[in-house]
Amino acid sequence: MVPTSTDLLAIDVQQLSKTYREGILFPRIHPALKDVSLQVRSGEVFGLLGPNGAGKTTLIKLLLGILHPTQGVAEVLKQPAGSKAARRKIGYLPENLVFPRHHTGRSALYFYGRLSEMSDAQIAARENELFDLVSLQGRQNEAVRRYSKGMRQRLGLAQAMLHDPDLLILDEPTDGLDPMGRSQIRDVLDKLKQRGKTVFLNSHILQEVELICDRVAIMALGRLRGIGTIDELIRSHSDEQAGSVKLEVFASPDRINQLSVLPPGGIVETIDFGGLNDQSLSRIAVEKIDQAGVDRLVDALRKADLSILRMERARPSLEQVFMNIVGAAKS
Amino acid sequence: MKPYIAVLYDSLIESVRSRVLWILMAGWLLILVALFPLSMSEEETYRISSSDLTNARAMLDQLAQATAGRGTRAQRAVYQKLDEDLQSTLQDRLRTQKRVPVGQLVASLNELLGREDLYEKEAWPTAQRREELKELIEDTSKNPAELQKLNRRLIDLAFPGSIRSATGQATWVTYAGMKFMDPLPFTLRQIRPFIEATLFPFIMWLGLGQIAMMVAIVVTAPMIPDMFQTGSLHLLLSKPLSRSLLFLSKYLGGCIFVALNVGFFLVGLYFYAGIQLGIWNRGILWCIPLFIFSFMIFYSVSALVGLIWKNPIICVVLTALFWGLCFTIGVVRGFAEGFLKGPPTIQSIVAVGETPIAANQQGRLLFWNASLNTWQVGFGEVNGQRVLGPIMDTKQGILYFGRTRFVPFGLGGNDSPRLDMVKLPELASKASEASEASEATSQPPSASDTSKKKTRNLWDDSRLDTAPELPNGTSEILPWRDSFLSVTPEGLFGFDRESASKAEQQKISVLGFDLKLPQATEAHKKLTDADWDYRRPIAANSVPGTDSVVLASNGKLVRFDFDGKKLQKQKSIDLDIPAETVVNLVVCGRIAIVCPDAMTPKLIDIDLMQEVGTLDAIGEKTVKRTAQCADGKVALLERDGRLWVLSNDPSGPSPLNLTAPNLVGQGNVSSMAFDQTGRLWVAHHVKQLDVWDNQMTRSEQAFRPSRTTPEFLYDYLINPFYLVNPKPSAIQETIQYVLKNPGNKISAIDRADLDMPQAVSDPWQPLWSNGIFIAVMLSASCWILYRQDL
Repeated sequence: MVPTSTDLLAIDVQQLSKTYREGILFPRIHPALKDVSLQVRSGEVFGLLGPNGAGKTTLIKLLLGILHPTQGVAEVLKQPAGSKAARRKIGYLPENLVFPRHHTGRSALYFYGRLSEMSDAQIAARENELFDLVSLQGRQNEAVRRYSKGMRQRLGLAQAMLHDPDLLILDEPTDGLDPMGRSQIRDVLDKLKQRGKTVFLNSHILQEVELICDRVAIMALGRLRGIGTIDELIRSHSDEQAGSVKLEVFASPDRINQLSVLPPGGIVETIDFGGLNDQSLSRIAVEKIDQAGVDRLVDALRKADLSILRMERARPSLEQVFMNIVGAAKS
Repeated sequence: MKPYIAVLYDSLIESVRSRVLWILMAGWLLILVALFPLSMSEEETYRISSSDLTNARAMLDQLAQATAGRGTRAQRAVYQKLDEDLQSTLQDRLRTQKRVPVGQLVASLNELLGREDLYEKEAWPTAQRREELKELIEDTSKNPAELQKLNRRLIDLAFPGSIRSATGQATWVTYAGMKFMDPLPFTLRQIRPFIEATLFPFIMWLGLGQIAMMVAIVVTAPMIPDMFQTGSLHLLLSKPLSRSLLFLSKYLGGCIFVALNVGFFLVGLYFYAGIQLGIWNRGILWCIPLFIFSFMIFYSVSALVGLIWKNPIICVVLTALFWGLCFTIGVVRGFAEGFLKGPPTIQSIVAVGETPIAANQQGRLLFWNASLNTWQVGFGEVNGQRVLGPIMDTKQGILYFGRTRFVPFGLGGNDSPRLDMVKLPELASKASEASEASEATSQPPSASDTSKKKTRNLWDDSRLDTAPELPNGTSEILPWRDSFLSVTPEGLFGFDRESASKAEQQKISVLGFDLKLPQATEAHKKLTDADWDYRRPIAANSVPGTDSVVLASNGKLVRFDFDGKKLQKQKSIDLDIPAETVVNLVVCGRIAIVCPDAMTPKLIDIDLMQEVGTLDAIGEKTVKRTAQCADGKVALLERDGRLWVLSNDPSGPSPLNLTAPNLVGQGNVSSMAFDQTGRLWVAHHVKQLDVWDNQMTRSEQAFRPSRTTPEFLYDYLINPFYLVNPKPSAIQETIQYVLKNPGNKISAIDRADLDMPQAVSDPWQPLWSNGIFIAVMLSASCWILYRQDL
């Protein structure tokens, strides 16, 4: 589902490519990003997925102006990507964030706030709220070199939010966090979403993306392989890779076998109740069956007047979709 | 706060929280605390120190002779008042030549200073002729200080040449109030300029310019590479900052570390110098930005390397290599310049006909070798000495020159300088011929004609003959009448050629060889009276066309007229300058041009002994050399190589006409002399020499010696490489300039100091040249950063 009006776009990338040249005497060309086009709507949480080397960080660097594109254009918040005007409205949390060792949590927040053109008064007005939000209240005067990785990550998130940016670009925000910390980050992102902020999230943790993101893009080998809501992605990939189906039928396995309604690969077995088998109840399990096959099976069972007590249609997970897409790209 | 200011402020915080900074600060504090008790004090004293005894052996010999009733009455009077121990030791010395410790002599002489019965009218008959002594002798209620002064003056009179005349001032180096060593032979006013111009720059060069600079390079090397850590840099670049300005802010931030160190030490040094030495020199504070600038040169290299390789170790190594390269090139050039530009520079010329004879600062006598087109060294390649003269006796064809040990600040020259005579009879005839030819045709004979008639080279060692050594402490010899005058702190001595030739040479036998030693004093007759009381620095010059001599010393100008036997003191004038001022002096007609160090030359009518004007066109400059011509012309040479000519034209609108002629080498002149025909010989650019006609409009002859291989290498390899190479060490010259207190007029303690190299003429030039280098390095860094994918 692509937005129809460009007014609603927070990020608009068109045919973006980046090629690295390595070496001086014998330069080697290494294409990192090829013809990537994507749009991120204002106010949505957008997830960028992909294996290592897929080009995710390259894309983020191009959006921030850290890299110069070889080809194509990118706009962020209606400004050319990398322009000062665009960067004023972006909050960025880099992967493996390192704070200068001489800072305390508080002085680091002030330093990055000043770099974001905030006055000390503006920073002072926001600092308590943010330290509360990222659960660093009471620890803000400690030297950052004594912070755990999770604390540094949360401090990084605080500095990214400090100047109340319209767009947050978060590169692996939950990296190094314990489950509690991840949950806190998710809560923060939810709050941001409620306040209409756009979040561009790059993460390896698919379950997290599934929980937080409105839309997802999957990249592999420098190309965009899929984009949309999670449902759209699964649906668009379900036709090709059908899911499994499980049915509990009020009939013995023999009876079902006699009907010859099972598709190839289908299994019928007696339902096991903790060592006690009820011969009048059977479970049918069929792998890789499309919707038409399921319909035919249900019709045949009902025609034989068998009662279907339960039916479970297992669809592919985001992880399966991701694995399938990446696998297909590599092959 | 502006983002870039925030980067600078962050660098300040980073520096303040760095342990290395506090360790260095503690080091500076320790140095300042150790330095603080070191001070100098000046006292009025006439006590004798061992450094006052310029010839202790002679003094002991004279005292030993006094034991047998020989020597002057004053010496015998001193001997009789010495303590008994020393008296018996001196008696032993007369018999056995036993050595007497100088310390014992000094202690015994100092005891004499407090005795009320030292003065005897018969022993010191001339004492009453000196105003200062007369007052002290007649004062019956002398206080101990006055008694000490009187007795010291009497001892000085008793042993002329063996003891330095007391100035009455002693400068001590003290540590925590305790006096250190013997008193220094300078006043504080003389020392201060050298502390400011030499000692402070040296301390700063060593402490800040070398040690602290290397520490700072090591400490600040990681700052730029650290900025490039992935997690750090990308966050910075995501902020609304310009890459170039972010880099420049980081670069300047690195300089804050150095600023804190340098500022702390130099502010401490400023207060130390002010409180303990009384030198409140704001130039010390100006050195803070200069040292930061000096560091910026190295840090611009470190920053560029850090940008390319992102590795602090490579930064340190390559910056150290750059430092080493600059240092090596600077040292090589400095050595080359020291050997090729300083010592070989011609410092005096005597022109006989068409033959130039010169002396250089290396202490060598030079003759022009036309066949090889070079200067030929004659009569021994003596280094490290100063040539007195040379002076040509054109009638006899004898060249006189002295050699004295050259030690800056007037510390040398207390020994008896050697006098050499070179027999050049053919030049005597040439000189006469040249003079006659000039009068007839104004076309002097060419040098080639002269050389054809030579049978022996002028520099042939067989021409050299020993001559009686010059009087003790001779600082200068002047052409006077048919001979020359020796200027010494004990008086003016005239050289009597007749006596010299009659004087028997002393023969001694060493290892079976007979050596001839010249007798010292018979040939040099003291022409001044016993009331001579002039101390160094002394300047003297003859009055052209007369036998009179003018002399400047102790802040006064005095004229002496010759009565056939003695130079009699005539009128004098107070020059209104400090007594220790180095002066150059020349007479143009009846006007003496007195050129005090770093002051406007004064014009004094030597008949009336009145100041009649000043040479404002020259201004407050130091004139280091003068030359006078028989026709009344005078040449003045400024210390920075600018030549002025002053002509005496009583018929003109202004009797004295001052011009800076447009000569080849103007601004780089090292010496000049007029010849008998009034032509001006000008030495410039180390070894080049031009002969200018009387009007100074046409160069009649030029002597351009061929380049030697070292000179060729210097001109075409070392110097060009140095010029294109960045020169961080040249900042030292700017530092010396800002430390030079404009209130300090003194630039020399002795006249010989005026030949020492001066600071560069444009002290700010190193800032421009190094500033361009920094700008190039930073521009390259910004361009790389702009182009770089990070």
